[in-house]
Amino acid sequence: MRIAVLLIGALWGPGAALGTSAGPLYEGDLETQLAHARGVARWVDEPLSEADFGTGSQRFDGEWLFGTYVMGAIGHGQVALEHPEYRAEAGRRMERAIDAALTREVRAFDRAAWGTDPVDDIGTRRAHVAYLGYLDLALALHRQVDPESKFIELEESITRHLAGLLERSATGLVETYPGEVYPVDNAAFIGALGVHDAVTGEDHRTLIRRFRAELRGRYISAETGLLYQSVARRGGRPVDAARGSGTALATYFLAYADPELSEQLWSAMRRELYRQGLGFGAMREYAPGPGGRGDIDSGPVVLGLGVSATGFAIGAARAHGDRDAYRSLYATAALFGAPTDAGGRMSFALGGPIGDAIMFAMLTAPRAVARVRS
Amino acid sequence: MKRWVVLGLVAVSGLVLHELWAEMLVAENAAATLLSRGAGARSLAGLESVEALGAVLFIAYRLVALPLAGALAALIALRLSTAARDLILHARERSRALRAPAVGNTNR
Repeated sequence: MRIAVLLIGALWGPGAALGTSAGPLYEGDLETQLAHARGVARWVDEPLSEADFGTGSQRFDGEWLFGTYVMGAIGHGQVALEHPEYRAEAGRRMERAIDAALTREVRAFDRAAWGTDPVDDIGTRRAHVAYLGYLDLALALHRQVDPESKFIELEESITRHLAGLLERSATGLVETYPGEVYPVDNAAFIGALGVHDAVTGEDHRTLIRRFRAELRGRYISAETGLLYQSVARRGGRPVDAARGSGTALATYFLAYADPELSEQLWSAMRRELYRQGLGFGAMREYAPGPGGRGDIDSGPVVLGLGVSATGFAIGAARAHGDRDAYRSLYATAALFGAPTDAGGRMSFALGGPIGDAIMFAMLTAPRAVARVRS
Repeated sequence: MKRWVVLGLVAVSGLVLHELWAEMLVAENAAATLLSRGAGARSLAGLESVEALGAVLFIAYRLVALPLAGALAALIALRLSTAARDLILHARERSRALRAPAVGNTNR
């Protein structure tokens, strides 16, 4: 009897305990969300630089620095929209994060890839959709949180720039870097477009519907229902597999603009990639089969399970009201990330600035249906 | 009793070690090296390898400590439920004994 109890406690105890701590976050408890907000605000207030991210690639270091600021800003915006009493503080924190993301030092990774600066290129034929698409979502959310946002002009010019390029694109997608096209980065801009329309009353539904049709027709694997990670600039032929990290992040972004498409991707992830046991859940990076190796997008891939896919799927799960998946995915993230409360500031001990910022945005993702109604 | 005191001390020490270690990892931003290493972005050398190793050891510590904590919690729950059951049974027996008529007392 005693041995059985010990085994049950050892096997199911950790998953149950860590999963239970996801409850207040799933329910949108303000104090719990604010602890994460303070953890992320700390990184933004600190003078971070590319040197704080040791990927070994200047481009990836720059992407992670930019990602820390922009995902942090998005997280603050999401909490403010769920809890209006946080709006004023969120507006200030978002402003600091966006100001940091707009510095020439942070834009350097994108400038190095294109040879031209992303902000200077607004209105040209160069899309810069990674930098401008993600930034645009943070800017649009800042407008929603603070109607007097100082970024209104910038947000409108980026939206016009990317919407125009998408409308004219033969593939229905625009480039992240010269010759590199990632559907998930385009999904970030489509998410921004959804927020933009909600704030301004403008109507980009035709473009959003076209994006949905292009994804369904060309960029979602007929076999698995997952999103191709990367496609060719000319013709849009897939050049990488349909993968969990890209699909999960796109599911989260698209919840802002196209809940139906987002739901379709989430169902595919649930069916093809989701694994659970002992109270823990995780997403595979590749559908069962030959698969592939991990890279900078996937993060470490252990036994086929992807760190990024699992983390991004938390946001997708909250967006689609999937409490069980949210709870079990969070349990896994907490097991390996080790959330640590230091003086009311929650940080993932093994997340670093980028991990904290991404988790903050995912843990506070808005419900897809609620956003459309609002 | 002594065994429970020792178990309690071990649990508290483990918790304190975990918190201190976690705060140190946050402060040193050690995670970045581990994440990038795992992602195959590069190989590490020197001090960065030590930091990444520290982060891996921390994960290993959690993978061992959390199931042990779960087992300990289950053991405490079992012990408490057994004690509660014994207490209830004992109270019932006492109450039954008090209410029972005196049998065989014919000396009067």
